[in-house]
Amino acid sequence: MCMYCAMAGLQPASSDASIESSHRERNHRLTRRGFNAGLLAAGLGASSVARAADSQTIKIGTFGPFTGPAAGLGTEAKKGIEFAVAQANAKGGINGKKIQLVAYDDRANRAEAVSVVRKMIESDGVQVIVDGSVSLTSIAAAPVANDAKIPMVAAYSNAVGVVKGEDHVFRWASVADVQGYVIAHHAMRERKYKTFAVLMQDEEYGRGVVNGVEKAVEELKGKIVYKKPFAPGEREFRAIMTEIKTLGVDSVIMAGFSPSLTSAARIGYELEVFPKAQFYISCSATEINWYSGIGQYGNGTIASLEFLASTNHPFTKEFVAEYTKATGEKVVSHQAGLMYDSSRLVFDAIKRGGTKADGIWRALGETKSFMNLSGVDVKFTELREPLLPIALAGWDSASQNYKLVKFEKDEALIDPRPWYKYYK
Amino acid sequence: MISTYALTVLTLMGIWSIVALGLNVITGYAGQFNLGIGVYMGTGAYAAAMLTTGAGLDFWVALPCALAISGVMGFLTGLPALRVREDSLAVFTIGLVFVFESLLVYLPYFGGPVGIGRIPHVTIGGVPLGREAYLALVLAALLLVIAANVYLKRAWMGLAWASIRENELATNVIGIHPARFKLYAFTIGATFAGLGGALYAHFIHYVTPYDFGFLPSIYILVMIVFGGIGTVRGAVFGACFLTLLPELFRFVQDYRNLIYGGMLVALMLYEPDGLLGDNSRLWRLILSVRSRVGEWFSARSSSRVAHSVGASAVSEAAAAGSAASQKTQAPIRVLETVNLTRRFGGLVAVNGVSIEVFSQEIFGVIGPNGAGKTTFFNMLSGAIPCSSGEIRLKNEPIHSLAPHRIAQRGIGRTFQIVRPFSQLSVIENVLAGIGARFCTGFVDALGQHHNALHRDEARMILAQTGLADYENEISRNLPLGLLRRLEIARALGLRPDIILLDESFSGLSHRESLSLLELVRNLRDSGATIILIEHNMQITMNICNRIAVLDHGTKIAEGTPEEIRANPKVITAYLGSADHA
Amino acid sequence: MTLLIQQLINAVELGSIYAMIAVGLALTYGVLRILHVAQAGIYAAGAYIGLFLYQVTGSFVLALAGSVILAGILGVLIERFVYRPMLPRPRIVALIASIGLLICFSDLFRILGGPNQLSFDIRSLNGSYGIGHLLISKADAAILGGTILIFVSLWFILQKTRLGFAVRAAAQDIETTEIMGINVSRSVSWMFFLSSAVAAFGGVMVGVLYNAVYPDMGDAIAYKGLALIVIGGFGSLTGTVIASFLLALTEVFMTTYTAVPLSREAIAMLFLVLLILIRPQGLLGKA
Repeated sequence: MCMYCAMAGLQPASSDASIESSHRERNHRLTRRGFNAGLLAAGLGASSVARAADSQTIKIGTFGPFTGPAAGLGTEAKKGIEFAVAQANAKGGINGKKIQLVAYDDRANRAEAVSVVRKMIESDGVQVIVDGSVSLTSIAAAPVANDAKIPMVAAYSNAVGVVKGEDHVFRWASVADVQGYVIAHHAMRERKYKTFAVLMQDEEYGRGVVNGVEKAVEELKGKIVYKKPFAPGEREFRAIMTEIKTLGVDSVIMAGFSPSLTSAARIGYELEVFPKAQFYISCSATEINWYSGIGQYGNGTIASLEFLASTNHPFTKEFVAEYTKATGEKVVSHQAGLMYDSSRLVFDAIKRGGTKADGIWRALGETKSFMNLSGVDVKFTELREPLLPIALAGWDSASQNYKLVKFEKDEALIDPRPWYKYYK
Repeated sequence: MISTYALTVLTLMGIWSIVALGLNVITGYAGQFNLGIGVYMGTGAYAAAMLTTGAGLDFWVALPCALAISGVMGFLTGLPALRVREDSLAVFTIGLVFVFESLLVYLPYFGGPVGIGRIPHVTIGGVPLGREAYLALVLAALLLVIAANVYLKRAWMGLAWASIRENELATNVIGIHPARFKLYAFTIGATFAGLGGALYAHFIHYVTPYDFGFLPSIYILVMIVFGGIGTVRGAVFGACFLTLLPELFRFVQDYRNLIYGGMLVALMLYEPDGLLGDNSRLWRLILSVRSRVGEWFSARSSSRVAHSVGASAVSEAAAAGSAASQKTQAPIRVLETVNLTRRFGGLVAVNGVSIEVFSQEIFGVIGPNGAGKTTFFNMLSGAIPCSSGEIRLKNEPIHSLAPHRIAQRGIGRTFQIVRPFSQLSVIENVLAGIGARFCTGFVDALGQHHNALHRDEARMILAQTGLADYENEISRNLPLGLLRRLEIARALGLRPDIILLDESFSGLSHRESLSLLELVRNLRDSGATIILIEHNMQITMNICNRIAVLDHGTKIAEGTPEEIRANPKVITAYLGSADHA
Repeated sequence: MTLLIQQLINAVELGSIYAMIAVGLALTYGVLRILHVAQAGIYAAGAYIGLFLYQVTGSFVLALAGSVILAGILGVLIERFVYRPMLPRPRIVALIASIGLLICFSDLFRILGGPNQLSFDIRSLNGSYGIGHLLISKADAAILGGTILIFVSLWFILQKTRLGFAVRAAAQDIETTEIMGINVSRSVSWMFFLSSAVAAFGGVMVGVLYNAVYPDMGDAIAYKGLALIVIGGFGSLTGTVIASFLLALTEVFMTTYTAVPLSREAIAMLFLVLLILIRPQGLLGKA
């Protein structure tokens, strides 16, 4: 196959057919290879060929780490958006038009993210992007979408830098600092804890959460007795937990990705640091790794979540039932849920604003509030960040699921705007 | 109008090619295993980014600064690398790149894990470069780096690097100081990689520590090995192909890494030289096509056959000429050792040995095993320091000089276990020896060796040592007898005042020995001065003008072969005294 | 004081994991002078195979034994079909091939087992033994026990059997060994079998320890393992073991008693860099 064709040829979208078979999906792409091989001369010059949007379909782009080190997050994210697209198409699409999903793998590589976003905008002609990637790639890709005036919704990356300064980029998740702020307030105001040990994943998500924690602890006159950073992917916490055990703190707060949260929880409960001290963890708590990895431990751990799938709200229950049936998954993971929700937001904007990028952008900007996956009404701020209520949920070992402890809706606590000043 | 997606991929291909060429200098040319090229690319990227964002400098001012900083980084990391070899070096560079990445994450000065964003566009005269213009910039930089690489390969620098790569232990004796040239390689390679980094930073407009860590470094190494390590075309091809491949394979998006890994294994099994390496099928195909085309063209122009015949006629005449001119000179004292001693702890390996060697003689040093002959030689060539005593070459003391300086002063040597530059051709081995005269400084080393003048000199030496027929043969393929000649030829490149032959006859068949004997004799007759260590009595007696005998580190006899043969002390030393028979 | 002793115990537990992995690397390096990065892939393969066998048979012991044997065979196949043809080539060829293998392995696991971590929950190995105030995790105790057993066996094999003799001879001088009539290629294959088996054992035990079997579980140890054989002095088994425990000690104590915010990986690599500068031949290597 000629290299020019491959670079600019129309790439098959992630199929809008059933999601049950990512298998079938792969076959789809393999058979379409023959089709692509035919797209010769267009080659490098095909910049605007695909732009002219097919009036029968609406093209939505997404990207994320489907392979490579962060593949767990990316594949879950893809499941969420694929389900949303399938669900919407089953109901007749938006305004009568079917949705076509264009999905590219960025392998968590920044240069590749830039390439694929350019590709989906130019070669595939997507009019809106749902960002299913991690923070660092999202930060690299945001300016690309922004410069091309294609609106983008960041589904689960919590770094301020993704949205700040890019007026076409919106976020549907929380800013990391808000989670830490909410956790610490709950710990000190509701539970009256005073002394804390903090474990911080040393990258912008973990640092963000801990920033929120530190500010809250300072305000409410608590004390952080112990603070240790760890690298993403760290699983060895024995030494740290041993040390924490000797400190006798009221609570341990940890911000990181699920492999680390899970290992730390396991060892913490095994060494009986918990439940004597209360363990609080950040939103990655609902990633698949926690569910599969926590085993018999973790009972009572409280997580700060952007949505809670195990509530009693009828909308949520219906969604969970349909999702688990369609995908065969037992849980709605963090990424899948947020991507699903972000897609809903985008569909709604398309309904209001039309199928062109400009209209979608305007509609997104005009969104004052939108009901999220947990059935909660979420308001938007002028910074294109949501005023997202945080669901504090406790892990219940018996049912192997999270149970709602409190929906934190206090705007003073969940407002993302004050945290912008900490980031360039 | 090219799509920006295509422009993005092409620009990245160019950037990775530049970085790959930087690694090619360090690992491909100089043979220094470096699994952490990300350190230099990252240095260049971060330096440029911080200067254009934080300090607000213009890109064109920031770029040279970033290049300089990258070069310094190359130098600084090259220094400790001098102490380690091969596998240790490989692992050391892995450690370096991990530490580098960590420092970038943990030191807030560098922006932490989020790195540095909003890196401005490059402007010319206030106008920001569009994407096509930036691609042109990258391509221009790439052409520059390619030209530099080609130039360096053809310079004495490149030959020095090749010598270090092929057989570092043999470089000192041809006057090349491996440490210095390794540092040159590190510095230059780092600068190229830093250029790639700076261009990367101003293309993606955002750098993080993870962009320049271990995995990216490995990918670059894979690129140059994939294409053909040690070649410019290999580095560029590997970089371009492997950047393009993931894009081409998006139709099997799920399997790209598997395909990549599988391809690596397959390639190493079936084309370990790289797809375009010197011995690869593809390259040989290209060469044969090229030469057939060349033949077709040259069949139309007058033949150049006469040239090579003329050249060898010239060299033989020159050899004869120098022979004639030197025979008429009066003998002078070339080398003198005064009470030369070497102790290893309590053991005295060489005990106050004093000898004098005059021009145009063959001086033999013999003795039973463990007599200290090799230690003595090693002191002469500077491989080991003297505990006490002096060595004077033409009345200049040289015993405190570094081995490469001693070689440059005029002592050449061969090794008991041959150390040819295996992958280089015979003539390149000799050129390496000639290069010693030119490798005295950085600027000198940039002179080109790829020209007729030096080649003719090399051919002359080949004629003198009977290797003229093997000029372009890869030295690895030669039998031992010819390799020993090659070592002598290489030493002759230095135009040495004296040559040390270390057991040059060991391992040779009878016929090869006779042939080598004749060569050594001819060399002396044409004016060379030679010291040799030898076990074989017959040869020694046959060829030497004078002989010194060492026993347990002490000189017990000195004289003509006849005197030595009759000397009872010598007989005792070799055979034991009659009492103990 | 209890904290100190407990941390020492923690360090020993960590060290035995490292030792198990690094020793396999040292063995293969000693014989073939190859930086066998793909060892990490075999380690992860061991975990996956072990998990699969456990799910199929329900018996942890069977799963462990099966995994060890199958991984050993896998190692032999790799040696025979990938490394052996590359022996006459410059060593970078084998290194690149090894890296390629590791990438293949990781991606294969992701394709077959999914990108998220899989649970390898052996309840009987959850929890700790308590001795007074000190706790030794059951899984770690098993690892420590296994490591000791492995080393004793390896020592025995290398010093007291003909195979071991052949291997040690080959490590010194392959040509001479062959001339002496020893079947070097068979010895090398056995060596790969052993080192792969050890790696697989490590993979299974670590998978159980963290209750996590995931595609890039090899990556973390691949390069740390290399660092360890260098620190130990290439090819020296004793040196590698010492280096493993030293590294674990450093990691544990730096994390506990200092405020240096470096990750454990960074600490290991810093240790490596500093050691090479001070003593290029490693702890027990020859100058």
